[in-house]
This record gives sequence, C-alpha cells and structure tokens, in this order.
Amino acid sequence: MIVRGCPDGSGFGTGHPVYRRSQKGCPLEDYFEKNWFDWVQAANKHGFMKQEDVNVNDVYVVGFDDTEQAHRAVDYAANRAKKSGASLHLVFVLEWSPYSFHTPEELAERHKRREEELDRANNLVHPVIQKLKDAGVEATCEARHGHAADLLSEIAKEKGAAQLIIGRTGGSSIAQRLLGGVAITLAQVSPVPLTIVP
Amino acid sequence: MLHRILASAILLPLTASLAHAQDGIDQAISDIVAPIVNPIVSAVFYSVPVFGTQFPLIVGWLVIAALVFTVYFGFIQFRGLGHSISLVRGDYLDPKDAGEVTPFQALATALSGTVGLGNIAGVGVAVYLGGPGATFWMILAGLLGMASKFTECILGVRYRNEYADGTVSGGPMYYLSKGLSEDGKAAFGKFLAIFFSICCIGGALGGGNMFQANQSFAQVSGLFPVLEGKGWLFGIVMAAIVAAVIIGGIKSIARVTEKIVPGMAILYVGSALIIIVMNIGAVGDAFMAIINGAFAPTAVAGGAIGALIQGFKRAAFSNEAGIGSASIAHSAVQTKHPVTEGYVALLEPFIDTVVICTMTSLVIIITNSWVPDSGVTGIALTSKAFEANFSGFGYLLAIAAVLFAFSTMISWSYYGLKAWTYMFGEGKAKELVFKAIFCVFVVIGSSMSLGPVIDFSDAMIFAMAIANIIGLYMLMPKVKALVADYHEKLASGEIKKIK
Repeated sequence: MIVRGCPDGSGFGTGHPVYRRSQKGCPLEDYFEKNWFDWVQAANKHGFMKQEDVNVNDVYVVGFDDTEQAHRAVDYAANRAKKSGASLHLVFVLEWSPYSFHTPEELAERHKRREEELDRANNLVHPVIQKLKDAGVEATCEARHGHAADLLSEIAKEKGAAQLIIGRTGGSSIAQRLLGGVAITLAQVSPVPLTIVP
Repeated sequence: MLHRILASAILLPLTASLAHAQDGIDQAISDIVAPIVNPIVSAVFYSVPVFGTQFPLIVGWLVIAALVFTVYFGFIQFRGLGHSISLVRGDYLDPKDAGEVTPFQALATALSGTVGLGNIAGVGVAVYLGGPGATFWMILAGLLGMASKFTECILGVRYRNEYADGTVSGGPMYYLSKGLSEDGKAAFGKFLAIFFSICCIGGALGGGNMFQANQSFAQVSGLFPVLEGKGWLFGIVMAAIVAAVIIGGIKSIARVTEKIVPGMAILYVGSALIIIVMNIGAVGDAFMAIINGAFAPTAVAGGAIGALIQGFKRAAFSNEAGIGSASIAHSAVQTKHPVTEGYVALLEPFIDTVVICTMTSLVIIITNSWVPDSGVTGIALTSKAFEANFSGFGYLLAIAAVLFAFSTMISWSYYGLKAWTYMFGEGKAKELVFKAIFCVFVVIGSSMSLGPVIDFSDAMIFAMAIANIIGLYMLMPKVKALVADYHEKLASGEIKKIK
C-alpha cells in the first residue's frame, strides 16, 4: 500500500491516527475510515509519520558510473520520475574491497587517492544532476566506495526507495558470465523492485 | 617510462660485468668490505659467555625489551587479543570511511613484509642449530614480541608527519626525533633517529633485499642445476620486476603477486597442517621433544642456552618485533586513534611466529628430518621435511620462497625509502635514487655469495633495534597515556562498535 498525502496537500496531519480521525475535510477521510487497519500498519511500517515524510514523493535510486548504459538508465529514470513526480538519487559506486591487498606505499597514499576518487566521481555526477534539475526533475547524488550490488541495495533500503534503476552492464566476458555482473546479482538481492535498462 | 629506461641503464652494465667476472668481483668485494664490515658485525653481535656458550647481547636486548613492555602494559597481548581480532574483522569500521585502508589491509601488508624466508629458512636454521627446543623459545619470543609491536606501532601513528597532499610518513625516525624533543631531548632524539635511519637503509638493502634474493636463488638453483652460477640472470629478472613495481609504479604486477602471496602462505600453512594431521600420533611426541629440548636438549651446542639463543634470534629476525620496521608500515594508515594500530599490529608476531614458524618446526620434528651436524640446514632442512611427505614439494617451496622474497623486498624498499627521505628530504628525484640503488642490490645479492655482506645485513637489521628500543623505553609512558585515553573513549562510547 502506498501512502500518499491528501490531494489538497493537507497531508495526514501530525501523525497519530486518533488525532487524524477528529479532523474533517480531507476527501480521503472515508477511505481511511474503512481501511483503518491498513493505515495503522503502514504508519507503523514507516515509523512515526510527519507531514513532510508523507508528502515526500517516491525516490528512485539510480546506479550511475558515467558509462553509456548508465546515462540511458538516468534518462529512463528521469522520464519515469517526471510522470510520477518521483525524485532521483544517483549513486556513483567506486569499486572497493576492504580485503584487497596493498603495498606499503599504496597504504600511505590511500587517503589521498580516496579523496581524488570521490572528487572525480562527484565531478562526473554533478553535471548530470544539474541537467536533471534543469529538466525539472528533483535529483540528489552520492559517491561511495564499496561493492556495487551491496551498496546499491543498502542505499535503496536506507532511502526507502520505490525502485532501483540500473543500466545493463553489457559485460559478456567469461568472468562476468560465470560470476554474474552487478545486474544479475541485484536481480537476486535487491530489496526493492529493480529495473534494468538495456 | 623514463624511470624504467633509467633503471635498466643502471642495471645492465653492472650485471654484464658481473656475468664476466663473477668470481673475481666476488673476491674483490669481499676483500674490500670485510675489514669495514667485520668490526660492525662483531660489535652488533657482541657476545658474552653464558654457561659455556656465547650469548649475543642484542638478542637479550630484544627479549628483555619485549618482557618489559609485556609487564608494563599488563600482558596486553593476552588481554587485548579479542579486541585486536574484533578490530581486524571490521567491527569498528564506520561505513562512511569506506575506501580508507581497513585494519585487515594494514595487517595483511605488514604481514607480507614479515612472513617470508624467516618462516621457512630461519626456522630451519633454528632447529638445526638449536634442536627442537628452539621452537619453545621461538614461541615465547613471539608471544613477548607482541607487546613490542604494540608499543612501536602506536608511537608510529602518534608522531607521523602528515603532508598537505594527504600522504603520510612515519616510523621510528619520526617518533624518536619528535617524541623525544617534547621532553627536551631533541638532540639525543635526532641522533637516535639518524642512527636508526642509517641502519634501516642498511637493513633494507641487506636483510630486506640481498638476503632475500640470495636465499631464494639458493632454493631455485638447487632445483634447477642449470642455473648454477647464473645468479646474475636471476637477479636481473628479479630486479626488473622489483623496478617495475617500485620505480615504474606498475600496479598490475604488485596486484598479481600480492594476490598470489597470501595464497602461497595459505598453501604453505595448509600443507604443513596436512602433514601434521597425517602424523597426528607423532604430535604429542613432537611437543614433548620441544619442551624437553627447551630445558635439557641433547646434541645441541650450548645446551638449553644454545636452544634459547637460536629460538630467540630467529623469532626476532622473522617477526621484526622491536626492530621498528612494522611501525613504518602501520603509520601510513588513516585511523581515528593511534592505539587501534597497536592492537592490530600485535597480531603480527602471533601469526608470523606463534602460528607459522611453529608449524614449520613441527613438520621438521615429526618427519625426523633434523639430523644434528648433518649440514642440512636452513631452507634445505625445511624442504627435506616437506618432501618426506609430499614429493615435489621442493618446487612449491621454491615458488613460495621467490614470492615471499619478492613481497618482503617490496615492503623493505618502502622502509628504506622512508629512512632515506627522512635523512635527505622528500622529493621524486631523491626517491628515485634510492629505488635505483635498491634494484642494483637485488642483482648483487643474488649473484654473489658474500658472507661478510650477508652478515652485515643481519647486523644492520638488529642494529635498528638498538636505537628503536632506547626510544621505546623513553616514550613508553606516552604510550600508556594514549592507551588510557583510548579505553576511556571506548568506555564513553566515543569510539564504538558499528557491527
């Protein structure tokens, strides 16, 4: 069940169902009177509800790595977002394993490299965000180190995303076929509905 | 590219001349260096007679220091072991810091510098000369050494230099000079730091380079007699690969080898375990031999003291606790509190000596490979022990020896470089000079059988401990204060478990 604010923009009020019931004037009032149990369940699931929370539109988390496929995924997501009034959250994953091996020299430079990697990623994402905003789509972004599938799942959960949108990596190497690319992994582990854009 | 051309320009003429006049040069260099080196070697390894055997004071220096730190920090290596493991598992890692070096990576890198020929060849020497009982003293030295590592790695992080570009330099030379100048002993601190740096460069070129190249070539040429006397060829190949990594910055080679090295370590330990399990009935007897041999050995020169000296000496050479080298590697790691590195570092002597060295010596003992005065010692003894169960294991051991030697060289090239830049200043050109010298020494080490130079490199590594441990004694109250501060923050929840 998707909980949305009242069409007149008044929202559900400050949260407590009993308090809500005493207020009149919302056209959806009757609906909630009839589906009281669902409403309480939804409210509990989403935690304590504030007006802003309820009015916030859906968030689509989009995996972005500046490849052609990623740009296609963003275009697709932007289209969907425009239609549904959702906002986008672009995630630039910098592949990183906490168990990889380094020489001492690399350890000494790691902090500096990490900053550089984050800067580079942000420099790639920011123009895209600007373009989206210009097109009237609400968009935010973040760059993080980690494993793509794990991190995208984690962020989708964190953001309470309505869906996760990624580009097909298109990798056809033997290793990728055997181990499964990010898309295949996400298809199995994604906590929210997943769209793979070809 | 320029770097690589430069490196080969230096290497090629030198190695060509080596090829032509191997014996002559061998002898000539021996003659030149011996008079200079011998007094230094005998000074560092100055021995006193104890119960009828010669006891090198430097070994006592390391073990007594380890004992002092153990008591001073209240047996931290036993009390803190759980916390160390928790740190390495990443229980305290903030997801926001993803992309920074993790405690696991810091440990793995530091281990790749210490796990090496010391665990294969060194144990062979210890058991050959000291009998099974040497193992007992080796384990004891490893356990005590954990406290030394704890102390030096905390200081390394506390007094490192952080530069504007985000890189860091640290190690004993920095805590000796900066730490002691806080107490108004700037001149003495500076003197110790310079003394340490000189020894560290010597140790990097010697024990961390020539010794590694020499011993791994010994194993390889033993298996492939066709290579006999072609150490220079082996040296050039090895030097070229080392140069590609440290000068050319070719990450892919480091990537590949650094993936194989942990694999080799697992394979080595795995094979040892299989041999131990296959002979499980003999393990009880082996431990009896170790205990009996520790206190009342037979057929060991110098009796119990002889076993003790061999065990202590090889443990120190293998895990480098108190030497100060690990502190250089650990101080490069970004951490919220210096003490976390201490906890991570104390696992190194445990894994290196208590686990891996003990396995090697168990294999030697249960396969009855140890024959006193047989002349089969070092890597040959270890090889013989493994071959007794797995024929053809010598080949695997040769590959392991070469890879371990390689990763040890990469680590020591960094330690030497940090000492070099401490003395001569930071800068690409200055670094390049050291790296080029380092590569030349790979060739020298593998192409010559220079007893005095190898002795010298051993001496230099142990000499690092002279300056380092004096500093550790003077700075240990500061470490205690840091540890107290860390535990306060743990208790108050300022540093907390994430997982």
